Amino acid sequence: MPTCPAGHGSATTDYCDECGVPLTPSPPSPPPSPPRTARHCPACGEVLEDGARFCEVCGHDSTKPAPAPAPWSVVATADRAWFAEVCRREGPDIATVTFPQYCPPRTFRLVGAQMTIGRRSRSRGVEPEIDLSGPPLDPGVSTLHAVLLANPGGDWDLVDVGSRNGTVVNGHADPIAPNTPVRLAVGDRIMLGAWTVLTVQNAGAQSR
Amino acid sequence: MTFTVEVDQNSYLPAGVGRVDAIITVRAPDTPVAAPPADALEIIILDCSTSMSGDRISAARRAAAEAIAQVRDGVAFAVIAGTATAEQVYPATGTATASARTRAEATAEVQRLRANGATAIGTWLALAGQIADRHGVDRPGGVRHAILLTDGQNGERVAVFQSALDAVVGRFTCDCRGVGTDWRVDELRAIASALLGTVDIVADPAELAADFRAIMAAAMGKTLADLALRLWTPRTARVKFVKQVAPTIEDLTARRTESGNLRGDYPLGSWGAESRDYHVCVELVPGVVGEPALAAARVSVVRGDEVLGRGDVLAQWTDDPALSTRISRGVALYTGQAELAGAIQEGIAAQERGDLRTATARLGRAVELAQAVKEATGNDATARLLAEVVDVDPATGTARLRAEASKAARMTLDSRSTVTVRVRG
Repeated sequence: MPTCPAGHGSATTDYCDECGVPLTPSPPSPPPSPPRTARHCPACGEVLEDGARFCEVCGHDSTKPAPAPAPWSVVATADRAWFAEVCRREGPDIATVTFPQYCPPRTFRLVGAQMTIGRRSRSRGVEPEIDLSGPPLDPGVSTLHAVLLANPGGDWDLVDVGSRNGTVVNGHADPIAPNTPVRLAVGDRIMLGAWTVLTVQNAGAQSR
Repeated sequence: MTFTVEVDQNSYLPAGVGRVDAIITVRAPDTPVAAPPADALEIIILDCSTSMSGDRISAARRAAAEAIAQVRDGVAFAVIAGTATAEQVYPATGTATASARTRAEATAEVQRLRANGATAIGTWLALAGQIADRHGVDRPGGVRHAILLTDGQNGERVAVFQSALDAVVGRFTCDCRGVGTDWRVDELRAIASALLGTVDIVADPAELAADFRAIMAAAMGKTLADLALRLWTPRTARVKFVKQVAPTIEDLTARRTESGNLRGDYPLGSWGAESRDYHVCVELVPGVVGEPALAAARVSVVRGDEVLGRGDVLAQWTDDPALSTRISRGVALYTGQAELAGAIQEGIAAQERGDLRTATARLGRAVELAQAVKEATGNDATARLLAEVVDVDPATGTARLRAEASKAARMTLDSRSTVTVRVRG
């Protein structure tokens, strides 16, 4: 009886019949990246010049340990200016949407490797970490609207995963391209739906 | 005999995510080994309540005669007339073996049926269950199928009906047809769903005979009874759901029976030369980025303990968003269609309650989803049924319920809401 790396005896010979790991390890795909000799900045992950002590990007002293990653968060608010802008852009069905009377700001701490932005849907089995289903409900936010992906450097990328009404950053005239990561900076405003704005914050940094 | 089991999924997951979705296509061999006809059983259940008077009972008699004519020689069959009780019309007890003589006798008995009495569907199912059991004693592997025709609401208390339905699950499969517009779609859907059959409306009694002929032709094509989908998942995994998604949507999650260490079986009913799609969703403990793919689920089609086909659902973790954000076309299309079916059913239910606001919102959403299905597959069957019930202003996208829509149009839409379109190519 073959035994898997975790020590389970398995009746099947291809995958462990207890934990599912492959028993005849195939080369992992994608193939492992070649070993790097370059050094990386402990703070932001940027490649360091040969022999350099200070990072040219963030200025961190590489002889010092990395600073504790500052907690990022986004604050969801109902934004009257964005609502007016959506009306001006003649968003679909905007005539049927009213600006909510009461919408307390909601703060979502960014943790883990990714945070999904959307609306909880039992029928589709979607439970986004940043759940904008309200109340109040913004009808322009898709069930699966966008995803925030953590970067090794500690900052975050925004990816629109094919939302119906698109995602705008900082009031730009065009929505961001779907399925293309956009690097976020502290203070950025992610605008979506009819009136929702997510403001990127970092407790350890100043807003721009 | 081997079934093909194909898996459509994106096995790449972003770090920290454990949800794995896959569409499993199960295809029977083109010419499945034909079961000896004597193994098969066909039960025809006709509503003979007072409401069936007039056109309907005569249409039902014609339809039953049509169905009887389709029963192949050697197949066991029986006919039940349902009112407040269930009465066996032919043969007097047990089952008859189809031949020219027995078919003629049964047809003659059916012509004598009169409409008089109440509607107690639970008792009809109970009698069909007894007939199926007696038949199954000597022929355990046979296909046992019933066809149920009614035109009105069930008169039984909900609990009575539910326990009668629960008692016959797994003893036979049942296709349900409603005549006219006085029956309830949710009642017949509950029966068809529990008994792994179909539900549809026959708005015009004149179409009944053709519909019965089609059902019987399909039933006679089923040669393999009591298949099951066996799902293995790793120790740390949780099965979120198992759904049939084509040809119709049917949630099987709650029907699991444990069949061994980390294995569970989901009933698939009887099969002919056909293929069906299943959506399996498993929640894993997220693994390490860059490790080789592991088995997230192993799917097999079984009859008893005989494995007819198998496939694997894999999972591997990556930090490349280009890999992990790809969504399998099949998963996307069927997820949309499941939401579409839900939106239609909720919308129609809201309209019946008189909650027109919710009805407009849900049916308006259904129109959008149906449009997406049409764009993805070229099939506009649901979009056309919806267009009879709800109008969408092409300029503003605002939905409006059509006041002039017939009840039959709404019931047709509701009955067929779970019929899905397959992914092409």
